[in-house]
Amino acid sequence: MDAGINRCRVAPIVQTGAAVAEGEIVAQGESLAMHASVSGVVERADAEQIVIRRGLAPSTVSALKETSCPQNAADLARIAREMGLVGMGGGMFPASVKLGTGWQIHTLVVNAVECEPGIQIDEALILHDTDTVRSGIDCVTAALAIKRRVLVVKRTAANHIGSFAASCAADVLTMPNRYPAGAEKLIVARLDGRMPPAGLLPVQCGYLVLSVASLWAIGRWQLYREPSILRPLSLVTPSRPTRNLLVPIGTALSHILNTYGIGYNPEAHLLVTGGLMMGARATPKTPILKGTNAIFVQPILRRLIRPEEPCLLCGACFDVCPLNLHPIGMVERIKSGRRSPALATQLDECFLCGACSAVCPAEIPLVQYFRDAKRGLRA
Amino acid sequence: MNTIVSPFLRRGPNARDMMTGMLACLTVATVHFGLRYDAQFPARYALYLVLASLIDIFYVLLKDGRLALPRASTLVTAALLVLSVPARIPWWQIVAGLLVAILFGKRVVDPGALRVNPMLLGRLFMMLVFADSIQTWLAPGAEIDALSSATPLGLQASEGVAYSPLKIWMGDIHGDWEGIYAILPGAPGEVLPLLTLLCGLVLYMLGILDWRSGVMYIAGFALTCVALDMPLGIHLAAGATIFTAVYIVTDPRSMPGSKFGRLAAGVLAGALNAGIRKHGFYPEGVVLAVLFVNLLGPTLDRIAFQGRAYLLRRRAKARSQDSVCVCGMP
Repeated sequence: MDAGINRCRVAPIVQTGAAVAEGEIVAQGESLAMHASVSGVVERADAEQIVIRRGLAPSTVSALKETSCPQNAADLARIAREMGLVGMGGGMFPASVKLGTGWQIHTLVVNAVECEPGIQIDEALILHDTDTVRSGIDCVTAALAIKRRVLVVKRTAANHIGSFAASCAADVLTMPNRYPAGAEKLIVARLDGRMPPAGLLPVQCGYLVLSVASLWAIGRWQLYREPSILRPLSLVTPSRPTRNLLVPIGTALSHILNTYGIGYNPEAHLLVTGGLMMGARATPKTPILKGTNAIFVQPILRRLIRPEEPCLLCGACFDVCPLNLHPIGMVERIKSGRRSPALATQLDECFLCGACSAVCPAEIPLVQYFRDAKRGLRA
Repeated sequence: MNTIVSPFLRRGPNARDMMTGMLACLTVATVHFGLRYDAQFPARYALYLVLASLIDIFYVLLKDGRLALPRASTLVTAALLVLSVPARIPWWQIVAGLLVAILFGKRVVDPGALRVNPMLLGRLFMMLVFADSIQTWLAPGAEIDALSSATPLGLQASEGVAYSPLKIWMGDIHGDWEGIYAILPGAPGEVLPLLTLLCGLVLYMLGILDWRSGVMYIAGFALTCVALDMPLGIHLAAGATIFTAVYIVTDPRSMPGSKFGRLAAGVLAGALNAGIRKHGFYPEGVVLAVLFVNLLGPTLDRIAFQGRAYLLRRRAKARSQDSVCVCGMP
């Protein structure tokens, strides 16, 4: 097992050669802990990776032994830190930070939208592990004294997930089937009646948005005292129906591909973790992270390797931008180096959904320009 | 391989699909004109497209020293130009128009900040240099005889007589007026507005055309017609009104990209076009109206960009003032 831990700013606390048990803390950071997802011997432990060779559990199992439910916000934030919870919708933002802001939260938003095409893990969790998800919702609601719960689903899933909302006394908000309907910002805009300005987190407006997978992880804690060591994810391949799996965090992709007999040819296939829209390219060696909500094996589309052409000004990017920004206007200004307050305002607003890149007939990688420019602005 | 970056999905037509769709629709119009009015025209059309390709190939050969396939958009430009001038105009005049459109309109102006519709540039050149023949709508196959000839719009402009708009919509243009004028179809592209409109609808459904500038062009045109007390029925049907709404003002490269820009440019082009028809020398006025709006394109886009940012900032300011009491740190 190996775990990509550098993205969560944690440092290993185990030595090479030490024996660890499943659920034991192997790395600690300011806002979360990381746990061994399998028992075995530590082969490597440095700032980049902790590699555990699977083996027998040592006799001294020091898994977390918490008995009481979280009583208040601080308690919940502490538990999130101890169990190593991050935003499991894909953002991987440490949940303890979100829960510990101290803002008055009036609404818990259960995000089951999964607008990225092909992913269905949140839906599967609700349908097949209903009690765990519900206990996660109950736990958060009780700890934060939240008045209102809202289940957000996409239109196609509204029928069969709706009854779940009734069983946990939640309102249902139906979002269109269009990417990126599941973005926090757009959901809060629908609930609040207006778009939250750039830089304002949903929690600062009183909305706590958690994905179904995060609530499921809290439910696992609540029911089994299990830290965040398992990752539910969708395995999407072109030739077979989508599978929904429960995988120990840190498992290499090659292991999963071999287990399910999925042929992967680097020349012809694209291996992607996360969604096809916002995800990242992976190799068979890539480990499953806490935010990896799906694995895609796709044939490489010809359009993906076509070079960038001059803009046609067809306006497709203007039409798809969920925030009504001016994507190609921004790219033109970025390319020519014309920085202006107007450009900065629009860049701040953009949350890099990539819808503009997906429709561009000239294959301009708009979202890459925005990503680079955002970094440049911050530096 | 390693240059593949997210997103890994693609939706909608790519540039080549868009040009192919346009070309297919224009070819349908050509075939229609060939079947109903001039059997020779489709062959001429094909020949002009080949000539346009040769011009494009020759340009690349001279500039970069290599042979390359002509750009699909060059063929669309050529097709639009051929369809918007009289069918029997001398071939060398068309070639001159194509040279201007492709060399100056597409290859030279295209990469710069000045965005004009290349086809209109070519047609403007023809209007200025071959002013005579571009206004002469000869009966196919017939030489000038005792009768003069006019298109329905020309008849409206010179004599104030309206040809039945319904007949024009169906592309049914023939006969004579008082034995003085033979009534002739106009340019091949504009003789069946119904078909053009249908093609536009299909292209819109395929995601190739944007509705904004076309619809707003018609709206601006109709409103100005009413305001200037011009007969709306004939002006909507005759001349290149529908052809312009579907193929000319929707040209992506030369019109503004932003939604606001397109709406504004559409209205402006329509209003100008109607105004030129009423008061200008040319009975039609598409070329001048649209070229003028093309020049405003970058400015309209810039206004839209700044305006959006201004709205975002104002919203953020309003929110930060009231969020203190709505959310509030506990």
